[in-house]
Amino acid sequence: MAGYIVKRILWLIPITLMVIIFVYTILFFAPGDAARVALGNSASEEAIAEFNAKYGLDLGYFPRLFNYIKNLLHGDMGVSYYTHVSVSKQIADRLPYTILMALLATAFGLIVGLPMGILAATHQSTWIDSLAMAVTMFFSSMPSFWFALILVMIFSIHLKILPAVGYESWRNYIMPVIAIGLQLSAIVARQSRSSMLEVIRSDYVTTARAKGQKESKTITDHVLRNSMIPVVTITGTALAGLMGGALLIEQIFSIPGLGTYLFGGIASNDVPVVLGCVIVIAMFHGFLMLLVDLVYTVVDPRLKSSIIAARARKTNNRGVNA
Amino acid sequence: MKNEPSNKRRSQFSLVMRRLPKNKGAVVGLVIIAMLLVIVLFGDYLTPYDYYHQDYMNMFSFPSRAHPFGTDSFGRDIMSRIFYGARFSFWVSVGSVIISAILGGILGTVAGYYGGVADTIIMRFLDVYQSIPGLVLCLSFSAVFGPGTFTTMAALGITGIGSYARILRGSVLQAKGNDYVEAARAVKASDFHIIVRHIIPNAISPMIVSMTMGVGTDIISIATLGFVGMGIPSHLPEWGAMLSEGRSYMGIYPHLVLIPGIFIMITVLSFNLFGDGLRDAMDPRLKD
Repeated sequence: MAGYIVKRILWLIPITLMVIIFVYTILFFAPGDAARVALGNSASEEAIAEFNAKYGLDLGYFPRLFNYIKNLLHGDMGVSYYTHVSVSKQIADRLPYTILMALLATAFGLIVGLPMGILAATHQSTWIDSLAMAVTMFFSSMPSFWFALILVMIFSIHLKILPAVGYESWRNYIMPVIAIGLQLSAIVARQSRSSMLEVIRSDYVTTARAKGQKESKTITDHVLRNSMIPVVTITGTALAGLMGGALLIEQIFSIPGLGTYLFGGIASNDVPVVLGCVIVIAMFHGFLMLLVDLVYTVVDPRLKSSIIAARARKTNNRGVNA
Repeated sequence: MKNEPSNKRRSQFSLVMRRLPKNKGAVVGLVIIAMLLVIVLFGDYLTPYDYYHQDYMNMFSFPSRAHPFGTDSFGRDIMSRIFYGARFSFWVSVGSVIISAILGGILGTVAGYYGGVADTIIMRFLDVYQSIPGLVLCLSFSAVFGPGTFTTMAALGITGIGSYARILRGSVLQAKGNDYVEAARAVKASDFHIIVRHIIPNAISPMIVSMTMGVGTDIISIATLGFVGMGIPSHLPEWGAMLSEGRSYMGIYPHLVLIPGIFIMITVLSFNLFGDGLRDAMDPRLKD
């Protein structure tokens, strides 16, 4: 198992490298002259040439890429073309807000969504189920940034009980977390309901019931555990997505997270900023996906042996082929 | 003889057509989509104003008989703008989903059918591709392609290929194992023939469901791009851009924010309802 984890973590290196090359290539072909944007239209040709030489922008595709990767291996993500602030410092400053918001919203999604899904599945085809499904369908179709604006309208402008913008107090996070989390809870509820219903149909649940097992115990012991894998996947993917920063939510509530930084970088073709953010996001994504796979083995221990079996099979195949 | 149950094999299509009308959600979704299509095609004739007509005597008017959705900060009729904007949300999202499905579908089919090296390369590429957040890809492609309706469609379309490739690869892998594929191989049918005639028709259902849901997701992405001022050129009444414009005045004139948002939500909802119903109707385990 430890070998598996190490292998998965090492695998992140080539993935991240490919991500860098991929995003770098897109940005290389994006129109926009960084020097012109940074120095203004009235800048002299010499000043522009100097700027380009300073940041290595006068070099071609490959030298620029190699320079970037070389510096990255020395732990240097470069500086923004416009603010001249170190990218790694900016990311380190902003990451806590993004992580905090992502974790709180995911927790909210699970705390609200899971009981709703379980309730709907155990009361299939009753009014509880219909109501839960209608509500979740409604919330999963609602753009979270619009919902955020509605919340601001109600709680900040009319009732004046929550601050509309800012990031210092815990009260600043209530609306952003609800705006993101409610949509997530709808997705979690729908997923947990449908995978529970699938398990409820299976023979061992019928057997447990036939043996006179208490319904609540059947649900907790047999159904819940076996239906949680798709829910874990969805939650993990959502959390990974939120690590990229919730751009519009950050914009609406003026929270200095990763999303707005990254967007500024893309909009102004600030290559070091974008690459820096993308590297961090890709790493988080990789670790979270690994975590999801590890949670699988906790939820369903059979998968643990299947991972080991798959590894054994792979080695065997290699042996046969060689 | 007449009353004997027919042994005629029912096609998947006719089965779905029979089940779908029984699903309330799907019917509601389809009705809303039809209404939306009317707005998209004939929106210009449904309101007496042009979407760009500015009336400075009537700025920020609340919904009234003359302006059912009110007017915005330039005195422009919001209903006309919403109706005109519907075409972006509709065509761009449908177009982008088709682009994603075709490109992703080709990748998924090649990976699933041929396996081996092709599969490894495609799946590793997707690993990389999908570890970049969709919004980042979409914004970057938008920056490269520049603003515009078709460029936004292309940017969204290319961004979305990952999930379709994975879905189709999965269903192709399943379909590949069937006896009829083996039989087709035995009579030396070409790979192309086997894929188009035998594999795709049996692997397409999950794809159609996620395409329907994908339209909803892409409508939100278009609005997100519009909100931050990328994608559809900002002088056009795209719903997300309207939301962003109205945001500055929402404390006093909430309809500027409420109305575009409600339209985005209803449109997304209709595609989700329809997709949900479609999935149930296509589920072979739910026999009626």
